Amino acid sequence: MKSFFSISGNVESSPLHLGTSLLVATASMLYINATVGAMGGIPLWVGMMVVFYVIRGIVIAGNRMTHHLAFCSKQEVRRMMAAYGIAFFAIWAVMKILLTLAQMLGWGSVSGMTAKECFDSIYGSTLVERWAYVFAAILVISFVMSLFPLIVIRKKELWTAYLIIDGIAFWGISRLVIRICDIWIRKTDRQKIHSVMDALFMCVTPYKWQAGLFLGGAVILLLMITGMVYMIATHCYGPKPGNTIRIPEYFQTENPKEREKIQKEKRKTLILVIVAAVVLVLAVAAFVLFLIAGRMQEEPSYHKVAECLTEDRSFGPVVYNDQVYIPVHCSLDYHENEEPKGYFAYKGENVDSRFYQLSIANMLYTGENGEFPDYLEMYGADMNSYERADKVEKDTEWKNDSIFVLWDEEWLDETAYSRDRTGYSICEKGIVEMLENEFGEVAYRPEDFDDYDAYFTISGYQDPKEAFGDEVNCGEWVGCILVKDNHFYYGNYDNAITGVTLQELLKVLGGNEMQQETQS
Amino acid sequence: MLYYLELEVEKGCENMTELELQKIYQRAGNFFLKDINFSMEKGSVTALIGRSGAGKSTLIRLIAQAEIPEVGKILYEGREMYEDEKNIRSRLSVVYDKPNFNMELKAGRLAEKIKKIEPDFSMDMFQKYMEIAQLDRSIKIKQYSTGMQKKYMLILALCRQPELLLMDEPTSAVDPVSREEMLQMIRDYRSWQNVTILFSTHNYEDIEAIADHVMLLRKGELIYHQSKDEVAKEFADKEQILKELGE
Repeated sequence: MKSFFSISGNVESSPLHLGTSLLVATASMLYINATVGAMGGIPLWVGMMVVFYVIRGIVIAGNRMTHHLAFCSKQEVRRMMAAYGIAFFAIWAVMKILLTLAQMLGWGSVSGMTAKECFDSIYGSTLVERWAYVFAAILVISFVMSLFPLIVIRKKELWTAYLIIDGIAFWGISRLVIRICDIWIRKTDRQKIHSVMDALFMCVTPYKWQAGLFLGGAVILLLMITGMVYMIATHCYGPKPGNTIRIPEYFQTENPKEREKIQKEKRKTLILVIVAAVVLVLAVAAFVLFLIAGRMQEEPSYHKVAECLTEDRSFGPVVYNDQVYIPVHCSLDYHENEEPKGYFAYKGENVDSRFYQLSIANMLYTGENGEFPDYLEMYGADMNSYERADKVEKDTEWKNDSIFVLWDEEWLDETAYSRDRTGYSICEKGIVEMLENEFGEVAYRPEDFDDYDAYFTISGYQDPKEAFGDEVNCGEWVGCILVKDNHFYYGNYDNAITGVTLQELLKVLGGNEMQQETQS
Repeated sequence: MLYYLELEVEKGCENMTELELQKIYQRAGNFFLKDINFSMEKGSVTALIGRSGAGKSTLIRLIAQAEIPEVGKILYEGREMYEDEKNIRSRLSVVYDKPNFNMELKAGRLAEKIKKIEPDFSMDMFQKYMEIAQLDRSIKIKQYSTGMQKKYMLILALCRQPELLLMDEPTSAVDPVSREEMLQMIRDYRSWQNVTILFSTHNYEDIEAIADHVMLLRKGELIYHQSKDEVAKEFADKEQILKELGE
């Protein structure tokens, strides 16, 4: 690559060449958006534009390396291909980084994100999402490589034909990938698929070998395309046997009028070819816009409207319209008749990724249209019910319970990694009564959950099986404990737990250091 | 035995022909290059003359394979380019009417880069010719004047030690002193290498200095291809030749 750029001469700078480069870059961007999805954008456009303009510019200016070096065309094509592939990938990567930086600095629609948050928002936060992006990236590079012969083909008719055939072939490949993904996709979900990325997201791969198989297949495809393209390019670019028999008609006449007539015919053909190419690109553009418009109509765009306030996805409170809601053990069926209000995210969950929207989205439903409905329903990948906190606080059902459990914020994860049940402490009813008697009805404020150091939920149960059975049961809400800077609070930062109540609570938590500090 | 001798003679004769063009036709817009047939003996120097637009540059680009002829064959020592491209390329140097390499590099740096890829490129010759041409190798090529760039292009072409040298108006826009330096370099190179040269020119002094054959192109057709002495006989005076040269 280095030798190609450092030795090759100036670039052809005609308006026609600039127009052709614009055509190729724009067509590629639209085409990738329509077939692969999510990977075609400004970085792809810029990469194609620069690489195509510069390298084809060198070729059509006739500034061949072989004029200065004892090279054959095959060697030159190899260097040209390396320059094309590496330069495209480098520009693409740089543009991706620049766009990420732009988003982090607040130039994009997402402002003030950290690098990790920004990366996660684009490429997902789990391996299940990321492997799909890697696969799609290899597919995009394969497509870009498949366009390489357009750099060296000089005959306009052949150039246009190659562009069309390559487009059809790649469309076939993308359909094939979607077909393969169909094996793992539920029938009801298939209608959601518009592109390869959609299919990959829907095709949840529980086993690493499946993802590995896909990625291996993509790499083999890339190698095959590169090999095929190399053969086509060397054939087009290399010298060919001369012909001394077929002499075209326009050389056989001396008559200027006849020559002019032949020239006119040629010009007509050329204009037709150019018009066909422009019409083709416009048709692709219209098709893509049609797809996008259809998709927008089919899938109403939602925003995040509710979010968990803690990492405890089962027992922790949530916020909707700045109002705190508490999980309750009842089943709601709003989703059967109501339209969703928006996404209902777990704490820190990225709802903007296509993967989330297609595969793991949870929607919020309410039974009434008021600003602060009594109940919320989470429905989607998970199903939970919530009641407004001020209503729950008025409820004294817990007084009938006999077992009270102090759930650690991450009890679910701890339990998942241990044979024994972990992440909780059983506490005496007396402590619960001490807390309730001291603080009474608690007014929950969403902002109090922004910067706590630790969090615990207190739930009440009548039967141990309810608390520790196989099914997750949130029981009766009693309250929650927030810990910040070694101080304990009941529900909000106005309710500091002190004195005997704190000592009793620390015994339940098995506290040691904090207890000593409190005593001192 | 006689049969083998005949074959050897035939083969020997074949090898004497460095370049042969058969039925070359090429079209570019309204310009036509038509039915060009000629051959050049090894070691000969042919000046390609004709008025502007006669097809001289196109013909040189065709021989250099910068363009592919629509019809016709170009044979280099009896072989077409596709048959032995690498070998033919290694024996062929081209000096175009303007530089077709990266002019952002320093003169010495480009030569070093070429040397890295092409081991036959002679850095000793480069050094020697740069001194003759009084060119500073430490400045960028684009900072050279047009005349200096022409000299530099010739130096690069000669340092590849070609057996076939094609030059498109090598001495145009070059001052008389520099022109003499360039011609001197070519003469010097010819003194030890049996090089075949085809160059286009509008300059009668160039023909007198190095050419032994002259080829005249008029409106895309080859009018004649004769030795310099026969040309002198054909044209009554120098004025007539100058007219054909477009001067």
